[in-house]
Amino acid sequence: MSDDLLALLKAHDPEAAGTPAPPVEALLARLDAAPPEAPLAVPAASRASRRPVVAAALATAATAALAVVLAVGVGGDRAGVVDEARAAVAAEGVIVHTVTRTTYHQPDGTLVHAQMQGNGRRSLGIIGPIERWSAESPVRWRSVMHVLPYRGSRGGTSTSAYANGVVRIRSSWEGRTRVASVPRRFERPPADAPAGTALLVGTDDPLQTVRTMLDVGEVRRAGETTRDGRRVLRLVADPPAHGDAPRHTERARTVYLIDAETYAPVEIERRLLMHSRGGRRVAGPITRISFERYERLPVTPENERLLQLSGKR
Amino acid sequence: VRDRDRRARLEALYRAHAAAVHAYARRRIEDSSAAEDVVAETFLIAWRRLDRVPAADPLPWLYATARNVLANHRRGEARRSALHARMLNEPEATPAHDDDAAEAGGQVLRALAALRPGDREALMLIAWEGLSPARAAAALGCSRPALRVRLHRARRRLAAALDRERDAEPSHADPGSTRPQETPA
Repeated sequence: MSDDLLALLKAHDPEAAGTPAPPVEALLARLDAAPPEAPLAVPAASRASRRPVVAAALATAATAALAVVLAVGVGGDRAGVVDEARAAVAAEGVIVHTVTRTTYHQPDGTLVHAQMQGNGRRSLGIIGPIERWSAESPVRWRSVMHVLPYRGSRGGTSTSAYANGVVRIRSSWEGRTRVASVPRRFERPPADAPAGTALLVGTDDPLQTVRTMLDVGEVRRAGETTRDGRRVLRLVADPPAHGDAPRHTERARTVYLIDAETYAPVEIERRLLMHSRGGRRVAGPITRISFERYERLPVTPENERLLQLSGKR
Repeated sequence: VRDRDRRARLEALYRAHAAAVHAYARRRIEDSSAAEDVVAETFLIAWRRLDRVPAADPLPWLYATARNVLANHRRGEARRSALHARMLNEPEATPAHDDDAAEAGGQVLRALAALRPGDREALMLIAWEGLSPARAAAALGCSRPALRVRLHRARRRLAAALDRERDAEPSHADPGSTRPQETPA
């Protein structure tokens, strides 16, 4: 096909000026959340195999999506420092119990209803909070979430528990427990994840995490405010656009609200400031993670059961 | 070791083709962050199905995968269609002194948008992605003869749609009614 029509089309190619590859970091972060070896992570092509996709998304949704929330717009040059600091403060005799609720908002603040976690067509609609218990040495965790009906599944409550490289998933709409192996390197966030990720996953002492965030310049102090009657510190990460930031992102502002007494996380909000192709500044989407509960429990035989699939609270 | 090899292969695939897949997505979707999502999702699928990605010529496979990802993305979001959105945005994105070029671009995009999706995709793969007919057929999952038929039909319909656009031009591009009036110095 070589004629005037083809030339005309070529002349009006919207990307004729060249299109760069998006930064690879976002993909790598998602790779870490989607281990290819895990049997449940095989994409579904047929109706019969869709439920494993739901299960695979469940297996990663509770941790990976939260960690990815913070990944935008943060450079990786401090990775070594952050990783060392994180290793130094990991608490072994503690079970961290959190109840988080993630909401997505339009730039004008309008709430986007179902919370979607996972990626692309593997996304799951999650309603209500996600409750999670986690411990270190060895890494083990359990999370409970409520899933909307999805692609043939009826939806309901799904519980995942991880220990020793194996995640077990039991969902109210299934009569059996699914089991998947997960490579050990997926036990923790990637080394280049922001230090603030430790406020979402793991058992790090939040005071030490906040100190690390300040020490490495990931955040700056931005005063205090109150939230539900609590005095909270306001920490802001406001990195300017750089080579690694997503295209058209001018800033990816993350605001951490931290309890002034205990340093427990209260809320993490990320707002993107974009610019359109015409050069106009436009507000981007907002993601808000509210901690309805954050507590550190001693590792006792009774509390240890909270980390198991059959654990009750 | 196998993991490391897989990851290295994926990273090489990304380095070689992510820009092309990104351009593919941006030509078909207006939202730039969504286009980046399409790239990430496409390469995530490649990661999970690395053994199915043709080693010798992966680009048609990546385009086919990106097309499926886009189809999922578009479901229920027709208003985000790139062609329709570009149609609306074209005058704004073009310098004010280049109104004729903007209008010509708008005509082409509107005519393209009027084609059947399969015909449009065939034309775009050849004209914008620069694929040979054999690779375009691979990306579309059809035979070369089927692609030839589709291209022939697409060209005919595009030409007809362009004619209609040009005939309609005076009604929506009358300089007297749409351009600012010059004022005497």
